[in-house]
Amino acid sequence: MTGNNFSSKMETMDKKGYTPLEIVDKREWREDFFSLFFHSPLLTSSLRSGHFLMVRDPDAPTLLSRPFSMGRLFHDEGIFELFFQVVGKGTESMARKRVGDTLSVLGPLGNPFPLEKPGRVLLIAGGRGISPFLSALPVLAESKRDYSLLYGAKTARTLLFRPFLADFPVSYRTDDGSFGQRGLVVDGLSREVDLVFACGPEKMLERVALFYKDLPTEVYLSLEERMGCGTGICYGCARKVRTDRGVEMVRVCEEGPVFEASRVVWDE
Amino acid sequence: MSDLSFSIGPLRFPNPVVLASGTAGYGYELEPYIDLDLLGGFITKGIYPAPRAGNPSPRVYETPSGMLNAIGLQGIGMVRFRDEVLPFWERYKPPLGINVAGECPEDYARVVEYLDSHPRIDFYEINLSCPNVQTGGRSPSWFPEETKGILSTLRPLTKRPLIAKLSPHARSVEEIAFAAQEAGADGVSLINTFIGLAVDLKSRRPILHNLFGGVSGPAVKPMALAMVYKVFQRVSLPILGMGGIVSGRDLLEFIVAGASGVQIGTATIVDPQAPLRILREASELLPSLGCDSLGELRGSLKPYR
Amino acid sequence: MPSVILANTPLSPRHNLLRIHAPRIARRGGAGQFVIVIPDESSERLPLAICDLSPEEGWIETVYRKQGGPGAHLAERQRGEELYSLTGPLGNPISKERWGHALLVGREAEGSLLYLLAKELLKEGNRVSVLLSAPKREELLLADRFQSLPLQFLTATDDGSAGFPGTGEALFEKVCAGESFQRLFLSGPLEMMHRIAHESAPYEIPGEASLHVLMLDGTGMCGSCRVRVEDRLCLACLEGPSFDIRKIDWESLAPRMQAQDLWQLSPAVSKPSQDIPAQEDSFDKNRREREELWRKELRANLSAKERTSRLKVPLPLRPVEERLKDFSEVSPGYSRQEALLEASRCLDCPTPSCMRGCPVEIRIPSFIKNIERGDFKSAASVLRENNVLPGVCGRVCPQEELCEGHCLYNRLGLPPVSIGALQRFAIDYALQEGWCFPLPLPTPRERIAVIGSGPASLSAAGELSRWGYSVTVFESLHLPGGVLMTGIPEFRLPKERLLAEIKEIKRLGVEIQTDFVVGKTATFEELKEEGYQAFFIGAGAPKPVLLNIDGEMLNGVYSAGEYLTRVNLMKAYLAREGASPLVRGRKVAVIGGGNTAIDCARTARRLGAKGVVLVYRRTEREMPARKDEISYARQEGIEMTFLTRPLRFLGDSHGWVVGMECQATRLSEPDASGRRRPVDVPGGTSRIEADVIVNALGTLPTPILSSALPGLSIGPEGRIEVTDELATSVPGIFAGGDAVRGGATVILAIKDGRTAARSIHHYLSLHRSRGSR
Repeated sequence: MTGNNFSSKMETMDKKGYTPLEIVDKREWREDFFSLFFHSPLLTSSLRSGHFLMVRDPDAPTLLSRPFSMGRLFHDEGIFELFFQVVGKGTESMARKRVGDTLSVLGPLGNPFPLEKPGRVLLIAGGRGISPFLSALPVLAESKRDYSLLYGAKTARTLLFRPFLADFPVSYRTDDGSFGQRGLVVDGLSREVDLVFACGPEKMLERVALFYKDLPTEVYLSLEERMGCGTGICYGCARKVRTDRGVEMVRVCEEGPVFEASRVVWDE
Repeated sequence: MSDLSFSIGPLRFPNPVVLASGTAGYGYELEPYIDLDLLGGFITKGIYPAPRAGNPSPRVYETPSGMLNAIGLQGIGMVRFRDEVLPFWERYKPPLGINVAGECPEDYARVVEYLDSHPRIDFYEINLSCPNVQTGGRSPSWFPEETKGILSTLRPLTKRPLIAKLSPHARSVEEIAFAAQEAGADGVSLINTFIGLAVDLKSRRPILHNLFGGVSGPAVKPMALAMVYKVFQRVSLPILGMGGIVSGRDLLEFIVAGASGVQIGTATIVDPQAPLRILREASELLPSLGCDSLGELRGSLKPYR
Repeated sequence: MPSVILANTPLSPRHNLLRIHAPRIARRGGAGQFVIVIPDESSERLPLAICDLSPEEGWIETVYRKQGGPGAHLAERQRGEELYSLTGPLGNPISKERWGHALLVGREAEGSLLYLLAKELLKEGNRVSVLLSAPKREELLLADRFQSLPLQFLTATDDGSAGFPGTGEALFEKVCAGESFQRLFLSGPLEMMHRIAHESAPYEIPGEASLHVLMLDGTGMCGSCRVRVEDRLCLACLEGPSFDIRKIDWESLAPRMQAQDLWQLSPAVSKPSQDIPAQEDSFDKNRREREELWRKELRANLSAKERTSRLKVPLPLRPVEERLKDFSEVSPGYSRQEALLEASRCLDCPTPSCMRGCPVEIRIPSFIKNIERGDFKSAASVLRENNVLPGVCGRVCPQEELCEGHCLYNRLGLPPVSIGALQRFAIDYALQEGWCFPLPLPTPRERIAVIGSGPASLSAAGELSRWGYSVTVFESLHLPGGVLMTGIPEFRLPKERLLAEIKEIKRLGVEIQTDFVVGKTATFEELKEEGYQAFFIGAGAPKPVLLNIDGEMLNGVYSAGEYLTRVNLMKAYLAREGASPLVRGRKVAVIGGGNTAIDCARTARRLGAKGVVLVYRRTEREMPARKDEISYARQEGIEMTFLTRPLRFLGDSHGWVVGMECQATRLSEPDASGRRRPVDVPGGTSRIEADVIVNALGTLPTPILSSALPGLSIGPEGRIEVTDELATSVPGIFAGGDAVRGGATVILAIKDGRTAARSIHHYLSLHRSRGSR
């Protein structure tokens, strides 16, 4: 077979690929936080809390796609929110995008939080880590289970989505006491839970893992790592995780980003 | 209909798009994104005799028009490779190349000796850029004698085509290519990544945990093209050119410089469907250049002097 | 070299079958041969007999017991993982002939090698019967494989769960009564083989038994595999491991075979490794350098009178109680201040007599003056020009006889400049700062093979590499360094320092392949075919000189080589963490008077021995050891008994040594070495109590190489004969160091390496110009 008769085969529907999506809305929050909204009923219905998306701006000077956590899901409208903070060149150029611009999006990627597991749930969010829980809270509320969210940040200004969160059982913490209780998120951990989902800075995740280490609670952490492709082919985002074979370098984009806390190997 | 095929020794590649080692895993990672049967060829992640963890993270970082990678040749080892990867590829037809790595000539030999009896393998790409103990931690691909040494050790071990993967850091890439030809290689692929460094100003630390990494992507295309041209002038071996190919135009430029086929790497990392897009663009462009086949275009660069 | 595991599967409740990817060994190995496996970096060297192999698929198989330290380590490894090291094939293959009807009797893991033997014998056209015994049916190892061969397969189980109900010996009797056999092969536990050998006597069936003895290196270096065969002590790894059934002294083997599973012993017994630069005359070069401006200014800075009035800076020594608790060096070396001060004492003589005392003619004043001016990098460069291992030499050379012994200060009645300590300072500094040798010329030159990785070989390899040659060093053990690694204790030469200096040599482009026994892993012919055009043999003199006296087979009796190798190489001093079981004696006796004997004695003290005595047949004055080592030994509480030699070793009922009977001697006229000959004093016998005895009487070269090179001319005591240019009787093969001199000093080995390098270069240049290969 020569290499020519493939055009038709390339667009097979069963293969995943980047889709061009138009920005339908944009919000600029405080402290360099932004949200972009996209219309895609397909993606909105297949995204779960803990998934991530790879997003690329074909016009940007940056080459690689960037991984993003999605925020809220608006199922009726078929719209999902992309929530991020500007931390580098890629996010900077994303922040300058306007309604009507097109971005290439690939997803859902990674393994989501196992929300369907039974038991009392505690969600722990540190700073930007609030992102995946924005889609989890409505799901948990509907299930009528015992659940709550512990959300902490440095100061009140970096605690976001408070109006949205007002409908859910949230307890807030700030380092400086400017809102909610004063102190770190890890000071407010409860033993009376069966399932813990955490997302936030690595140090926070490590302390959460340590707290629940000898307890029967099942703990799941969403890890972050510098990514190359996001699709599992470059092995750039690997970190040490315990598997059946022993400690191996495991891809965060493919086997994660959600991992069971006991399997994560922490750096000294 | 244009003829996009090319050959290395008796092995025929249906089209010039070959996926570069380390940029598409072992193949099954890419399966959800493209029809693997449409590829011109596939080269697997580098294999050592034993499993290898690779470097601690961070292992990747974006650079202007490119990226740095310091994966560190993470690999499952030759036994698991034979058990898991080769059976997977039995479902697909493209020529399959095994990228062989090693810390000493013995390592390379062990991998080839162990795998060669498996029927699915079509060719070997010898990764001479691995730091080797006998070169004091430097890469054999910088030294003609070392290159010859490793390839001559491997030549009697297999009848399949051996392709030497060259590093741009040799004092003279053409000299290394020539040494490979002398040692019995059937082809050369160039260029492997450039050594690069990224600095975090705030912490005064390198961004990559490993300190140095390999630079790839559009930024390196001009250097890669130059080296392909030079090597093409020096050896008669078929060349697989690589370095920043992200479009059909790029692909054909490499053919003009002297390559028989190309390898796509960084482009796939950016978009897993890129290889097939690049192939389509190239095949659409070829007739407009007045050519029916790649062969007509190959090595057709005409310098002024 | 490392090898990948293809399978590690349970064969029975107590045994596993290990299949290893090893194409080279599979192509050359034969039944009766064994390999040495080190599962991971911290494990013991495990000798394992080959029970099957496939040259086509490139693997070998062996059966091993899962219990015991190394066996347990090995059992945890999985398919696809790499073994830290694999060496082989070692020992001699059982000769394959057409005997007629052969009977193979085996049991346990040792019996599994009979499978490969059966296959080989069948191929030769023999009729084969195999008799396998086991405690119960599950432990009849490889039964299905034996059954698949066209042979008579007989089994006996102690509990009657399969085959003949009873012992293998009982079945043997029965079988021999009914059939006639022309050849017998035994491989199993010692008691079984002994009984069968005994039972077979009336039938007069000739045959061999494979002796699975304690082993450390497997290449004739340590002497732990010694067995008594027909009144002679042989090394099983060199002459066996199979021996004629009638000639084996079965009783003598008992203690050593029982100790095979030292890991099973109770803790009470305690557990216990262009062209090249023209050869400018060193003196001329030093004279030239002496005239440089900075040297003149430096000399002018301080008058000779001031220099000579300065006191020698003493080398700081750690207190004895502290030294005995660990294996760190006696002295941390000079500090920067101390080095600068001591360097200022050197007068920078126009005709330096110190250089005449140095076998490699280091430009001593040049390096010392560089230290004085604070340029430690240049000091290190000067040292490295003539010596690839200057840090080692700074620590182990007998400076009192060499450089320091010739220093002008001696004639002034003052202590000589501490050249050795200054040398050590400069190189330790260089290694710390990461200063390397300058990189070699890039011109591609011929490939040279160097055998052994001790000082002579490293020196030759380093020099040749600097001239652009492509050098590969082949080392039979799993770590490089030769005697520097295995023989010299950690507290005299830290291994980390040695490895740092070897790393510098590797940076010159020298490749070191470990676990490679030239003569076994590959022959000289094969290496020549691979493209090596010249060879240097620096295989040393590792074979222990055995006493050949009664009681030498007792447990607790070690050759110095085995004792020091276990401690240095296998880190036996790390007790439970280290791999090698070493019996730490409470009372240790060391026989000998050289540096090796002192090293053994000081090692024993650090291992916790309460009483250590050195037994020497001459007096202190004749002792060849370094003076400061003797004084350190005395400080560390080691007793010395002179004019005494051992008569026999005494043991208890378990086969452990408890002491030795000695003979008093006196000195008479000088012998061939120039030293006075010790003769026995009639009636002067005595007894020394000891639960560990170390024999440090000296070493000889190994015969492994000479048997691999028939044309090689060997002189008395196995020393290779060479010309002044260190060429051997085989063209293209050169030799030096202990392999030629017998046990000698490190610095002389280094000198030989340099001489040979130059000779090899001339040899190859000649061939190049003639166009011949």
